[in-house]
Amino acid sequence: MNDNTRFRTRILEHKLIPEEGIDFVASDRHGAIILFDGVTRDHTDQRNVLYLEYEAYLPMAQKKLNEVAMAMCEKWDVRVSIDHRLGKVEIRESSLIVAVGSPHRQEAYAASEFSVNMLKETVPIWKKEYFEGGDVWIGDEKGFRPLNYKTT
Amino acid sequence: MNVKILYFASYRDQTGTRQEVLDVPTDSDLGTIIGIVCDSHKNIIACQKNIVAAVNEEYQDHKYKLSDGDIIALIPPVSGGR
Repeated sequence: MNDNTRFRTRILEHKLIPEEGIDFVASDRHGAIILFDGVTRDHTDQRNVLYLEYEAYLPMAQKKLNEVAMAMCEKWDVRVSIDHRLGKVEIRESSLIVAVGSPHRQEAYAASEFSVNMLKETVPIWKKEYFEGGDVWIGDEKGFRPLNYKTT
Repeated sequence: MNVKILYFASYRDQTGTRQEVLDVPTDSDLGTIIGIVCDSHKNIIACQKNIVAAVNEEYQDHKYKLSDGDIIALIPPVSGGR
């Protein structure tokens, strides 16, 4: 198997479908498929979350997502599919789906965990949380501001 | 020389700017440009020493020497999650 067929990464503006990731990483030689599905939850601490909105620096985000998948393929005998969503993501909808297929489960678990950590550190995609009473860019809580607050 | 600055997410909201072109001295390093940007956009909340930036889609440190036409993206903290 060459690297072109070992991974696929996509940044999508429509609902993510877990089965597409599973189908991509399935193989006769794989005994394990691990699926990580990151979904919008209805609260952060005490806040009631309404929905999330994701924004990317597109060309760089695509490049950095590929680097995550390549790093996984270098470290482990795995096949990888990473889908990241942009735009508005409602409660219970997926923003990130990582599917990892491997001959044995240990490698698939390790690669799955690694991928989410590396992705959060290197891929320029930002999440804005809309909650009852305001919004905030996550990761930049110092910029926390109530709804309709203007900085000018 | 000219460099283009891109603002995303919280930085775009704070500056009210998506992108701008700056005419800067030849051989400027990235840190110098970040200093200029912070001086002209006082409402960028992050301290300038801590601002992460990419040049032509690769992360670079503040000592990186810029060239004419470089595209500098200021990268706010990326989305968390636990």
